Amino acid sequence: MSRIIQLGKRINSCFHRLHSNLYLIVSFYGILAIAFIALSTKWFFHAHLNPVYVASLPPAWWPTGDINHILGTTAQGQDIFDFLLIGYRSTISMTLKAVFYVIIISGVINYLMFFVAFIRPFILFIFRFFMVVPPLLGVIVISLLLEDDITNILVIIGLSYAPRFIYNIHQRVIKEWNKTYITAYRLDGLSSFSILNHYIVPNILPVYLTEIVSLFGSVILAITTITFLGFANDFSRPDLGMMMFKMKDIMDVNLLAFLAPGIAVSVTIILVYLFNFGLYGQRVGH
Amino acid sequence: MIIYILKKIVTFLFIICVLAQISFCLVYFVPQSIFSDLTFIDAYSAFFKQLLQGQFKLISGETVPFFDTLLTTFELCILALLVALFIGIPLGIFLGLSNINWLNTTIRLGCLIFYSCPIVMLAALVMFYLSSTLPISMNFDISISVTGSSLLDIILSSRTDKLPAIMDQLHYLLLPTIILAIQPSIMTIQLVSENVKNTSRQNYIKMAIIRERSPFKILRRHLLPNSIPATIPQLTYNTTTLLFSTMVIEILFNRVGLGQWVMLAYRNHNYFIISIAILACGTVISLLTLLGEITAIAIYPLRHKEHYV
Amino acid sequence: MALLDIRNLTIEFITPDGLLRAIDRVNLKLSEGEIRGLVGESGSGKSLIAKAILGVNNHNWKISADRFYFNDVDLLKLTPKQRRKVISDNISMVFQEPQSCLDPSMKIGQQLIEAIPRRTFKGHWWQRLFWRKHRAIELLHRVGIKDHKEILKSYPFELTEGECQKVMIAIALANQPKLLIADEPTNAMEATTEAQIFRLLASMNQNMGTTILLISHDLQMVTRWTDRINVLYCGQTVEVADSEDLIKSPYHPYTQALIYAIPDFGKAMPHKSPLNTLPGVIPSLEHLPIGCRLGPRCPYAQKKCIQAPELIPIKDHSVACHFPLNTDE
Repeated sequence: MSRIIQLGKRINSCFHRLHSNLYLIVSFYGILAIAFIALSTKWFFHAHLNPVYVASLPPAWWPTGDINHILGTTAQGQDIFDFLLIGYRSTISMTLKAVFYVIIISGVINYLMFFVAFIRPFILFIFRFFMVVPPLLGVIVISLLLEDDITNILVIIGLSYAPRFIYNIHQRVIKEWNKTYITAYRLDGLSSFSILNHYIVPNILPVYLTEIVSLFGSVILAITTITFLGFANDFSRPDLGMMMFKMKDIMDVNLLAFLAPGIAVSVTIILVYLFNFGLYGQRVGH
Repeated sequence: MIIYILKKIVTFLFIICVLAQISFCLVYFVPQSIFSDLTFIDAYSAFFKQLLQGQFKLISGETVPFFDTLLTTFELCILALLVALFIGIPLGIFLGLSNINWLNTTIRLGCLIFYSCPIVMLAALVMFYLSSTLPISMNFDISISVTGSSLLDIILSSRTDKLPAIMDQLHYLLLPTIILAIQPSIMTIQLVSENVKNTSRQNYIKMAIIRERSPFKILRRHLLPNSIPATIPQLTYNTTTLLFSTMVIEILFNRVGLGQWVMLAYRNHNYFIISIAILACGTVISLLTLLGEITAIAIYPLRHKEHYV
Repeated sequence: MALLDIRNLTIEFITPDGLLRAIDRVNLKLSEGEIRGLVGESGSGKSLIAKAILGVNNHNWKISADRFYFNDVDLLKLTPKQRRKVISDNISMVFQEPQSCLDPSMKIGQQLIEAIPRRTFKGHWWQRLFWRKHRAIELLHRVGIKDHKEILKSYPFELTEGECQKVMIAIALANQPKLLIADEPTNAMEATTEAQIFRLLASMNQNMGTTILLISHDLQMVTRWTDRINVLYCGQTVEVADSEDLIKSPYHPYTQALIYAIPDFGKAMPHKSPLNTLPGVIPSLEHLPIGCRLGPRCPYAQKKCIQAPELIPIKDHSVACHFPLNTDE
């Protein structure tokens, strides 16, 4: 019974903390809203890409527009709003997948670098090497040598943004390790493993979240840019970048069709950054 | 300190060697390469000899001069970096020192909004509003509309009408530079403002405030030399993203440069150009990072700290 | 006659929960050429008073005073720029951690030379060449640093705390101030260096007539080196008296507790006997007691102490207590 009460108290305090700050309120509900939109494209919005609508409609508030198709339709008759929803869902799922794998792998590498001190220079050298090649060239090489698949693109993007992430976390961990209170714990006889887990990681959490948020922002921007340029264009599972590429042709007729994917990406990044800012008041942008 | 600089130079040379090997492997080991009929040693020496000459001879006999295209790209990159520093450092110092809350919040929110827009959207919007026909075709078979000769070429050449030519080039360079400079300037603002804020809380700044009368003197002599040099190496870590954005902007604006070249190579499966591009990018980025770190150590006199380990 | 005349100085912190009164109506009157001590526990607000005098404020401080006269110049009527000019010409400060108060990226010689203002040049026109460097060397000799060549060329992190503090005092002396505020100058030093620093301050006071405001928590040391002492508790002045008078017959219970708390190592103390302290802790700013702030801890407290006592002057010895000790009342 007391466990339930404790859980209730924890939820209550979390709730209060979430509503303490204007940024947190706006960003939390915004993230919930876009998560709902992303998850409910099939069963709520019934979005699909079959060309059954009237071709080339302008947006609904123009005199020749139809209210059923809010953003109008393309030349092939696909509803642009549905296109936006589907593209958004696939972009978000790709980004989250890439960010998730980067976090897991970087966690492993950070642990390794912390405990096994002599491999640090080698890993740092490998990181230098990866940071030196821009993602575009990496994507080109991989799509020429292996196939032009979205998974390869995600691997390259992850590889080009992961080193910075790992390096920053590693520097923070080493900085914390050199502080006096950690030395006090070491003198008390605690093992490095327990010090790392119980004392260093909770103190690094703000920096960690900031890094994750900036990684998320960089990855989503890179994915959008690279799919815009024409790599891994899989028309059965369109992406926001692909959508922008297609919509740029009808930009003079229907400007919003081109802007909408960009605004969607922009709003996502802004909401995530505001959430981080509200939680810890950290700096914005990286 | 000398040992530190030597260590960095050795790492730089090592990375260039590794990149050179990899780009050579890319050229040699793919199925339809130029060098496939030569032996390994001959191909190796031919590759590096042609690399040092600055041109490449393809099977069809045409030479591919690559220094010019590389030069235009890196010029755009460095110009954007300079513009970013020029805007970012004063704004960052102002943001770090000011107490006006609403101004700080407004600038930070503005930075966030600009940072989160994809550059393709910004570039396409700008081009759409400036010319009513949309020039982004990404059709790489037609000829390039904007011929760029780099600024350095114009300055070093012996033409009589240098100034109008430079003005003409700058006219084409203006818009891409501004769009490119958005992202590095935002990062500069963040870094500089955080460093300046941390430095201004220290005790010696408070002592200087008591002793000195003019705030500019405090800024110039005590605040800046302690906060700015620490940000220079962190700024050079963003060069990769800057180069990426440069290539994308070149593709979008249809300018002669690395971006167009590399996309053409991708369409035509031309591995040479890609390998040279990798080598060039790697060299320039490593060089910039190296220069940044050496500059930071030369200016920043706290040599005893493990700042640079 | 009075160099610094501050009446009813109040410093309040602006917090989201309201205004917290950190310093409550403190009076300070310094005459020329005296050494004044400001004694209090840590947390009593001594450094706040020093910072308020110098104008080094945080944005969330609200400072008000009835009178704030320096050398017959009303500082409250001046613009911030003029006030800064008056302060930087006449007042110097020596802080607690001397190494962090020196710019880590500049050499000591550079910082010392920068601190010497133009108006201190007294000599003939042909002596103007390198006059600042000569003056810097002279200042270093005066504070007791004989080996000036080494010190001038080194960075702050290469010196010890004692040397850094002497350099700070040299920098403070450079503009020939009328008032020197020393905020716990010997906190981080051993006894020999501490004695050197205090002898230096005393000689400055005698030779150049500099008024010194010595802020400390060590009552023993302050009574040795000062003429008059202000005792501060929790932001309120509790007693103001001459040093010997204070030690011989303290009027306020807090001062008596401070004197009793100094352990006497001359007599043998019984094994494991408790030391003489005032029970309790200093209250936090959010939960200040009403009336006399010593109330909950005071052994002589009565019902009248809920009213805040006024500072009553009894023949050159002021006390803020309803029931002062050792007096004839």
